[in-house]
Amino acid sequence: MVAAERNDKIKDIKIEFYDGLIGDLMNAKAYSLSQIIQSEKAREKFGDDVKDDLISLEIFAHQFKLDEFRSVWKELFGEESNKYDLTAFICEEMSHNLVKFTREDHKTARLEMTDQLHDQIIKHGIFMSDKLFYSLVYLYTESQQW
Amino acid sequence: MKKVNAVDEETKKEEVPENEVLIEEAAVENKQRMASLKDIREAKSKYDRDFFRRFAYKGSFTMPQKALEQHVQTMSKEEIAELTLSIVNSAYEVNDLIPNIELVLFKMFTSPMTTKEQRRGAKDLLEGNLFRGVTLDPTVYESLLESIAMNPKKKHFKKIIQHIEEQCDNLPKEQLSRQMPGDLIDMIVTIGIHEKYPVYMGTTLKNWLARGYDVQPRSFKDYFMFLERCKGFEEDAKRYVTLAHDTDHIQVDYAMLRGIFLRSIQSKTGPEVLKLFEQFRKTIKLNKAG
Repeated sequence: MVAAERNDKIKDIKIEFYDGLIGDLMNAKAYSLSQIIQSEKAREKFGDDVKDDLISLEIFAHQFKLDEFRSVWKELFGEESNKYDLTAFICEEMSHNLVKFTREDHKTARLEMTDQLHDQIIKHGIFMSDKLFYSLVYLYTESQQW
Repeated sequence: MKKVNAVDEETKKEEVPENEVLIEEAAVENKQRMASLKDIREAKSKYDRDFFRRFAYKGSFTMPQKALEQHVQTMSKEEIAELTLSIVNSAYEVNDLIPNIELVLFKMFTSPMTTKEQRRGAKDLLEGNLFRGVTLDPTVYESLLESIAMNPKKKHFKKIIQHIEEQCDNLPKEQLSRQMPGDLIDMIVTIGIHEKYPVYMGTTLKNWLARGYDVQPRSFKDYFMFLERCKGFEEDAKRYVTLAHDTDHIQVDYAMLRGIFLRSIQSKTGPEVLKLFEQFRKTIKLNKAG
């Protein structure tokens, strides 16, 4: 086996190791541990993967860490340029995780991010699936200051 | 149009060798199965009901086991191997003559009546064993292991393992995997785990891994998961995983370690889970084949 193949193989095994462990920690609702493992994975510099960012979103959402959530959110479609091609799946996951911020003090930021997401959906002509539609409706209705 | 055909030809060329390899492998496997069936047929025709009738209990004081043992002592190694193969494949046919002949074989193997005096106080477990030096068929070992699983005794278990090692340790790798298939090793590991022999099973498996036995990844995983469950062996279990690096067929990956992590996530604290993560992160590397 040539060196490049060996490197790819070990890289795949390591990625699978990190992802597997993070998945099991998430299933066990051990979000702070998942965050540590996720940051360790990021330090290994395996390269950009949208799945990593989406998992980070989920980890931060479960812990109500709005600032960290927002920084990943910005990375996903930042002010400068989009890191990944936006797809319906990414939008679904983003909105689904945004729904998890249920605290009163998160309402304004949540509404702002929902607007951002909605704009991007329109801009990229992304299909509005039932899941995405439900999340957006929920976010808009629940974020109103009555 | 031509270009499309050319591409088709190329893909065809790539596919053919892969299929050929599979066909060849299947043919070899089939050939081995046929050879094994032929061996069984031959053994059964040589040692048939008429042969076993001679050892059936007829009201005399000679027990079938003792009579068979006495006969075995007069046979060559090849003949003994054939006889054992016939015994494990004729249990139903000769049950009216010698009930439960597989158990008789097990007793002949572990506690032969004719060499009782020779075996008394001997350090060598196979002292006085009637099958020493005989290359037994894997199905014979399977029968012996099935019998021991019914009535477990560590000393008898060790006798079977020692016999296997004496017969297989010097075999070339290809022959070794035929003589000691992974399923049989799995059976041994399962019995070792069930009967809780962590140390003995550990040294045996370590030795087998070093010698290139066909220890299947699932057997390896089952063993170190068991070791991790044994009080006082938790750290040994983590070190044991690294043995996989010296093999060319067992790769340490998350699927292999998942059980330990799940157990740790459920029952241990966060720092302990992180410690485990750190320990295993370092052990992840390619095995010899990689």
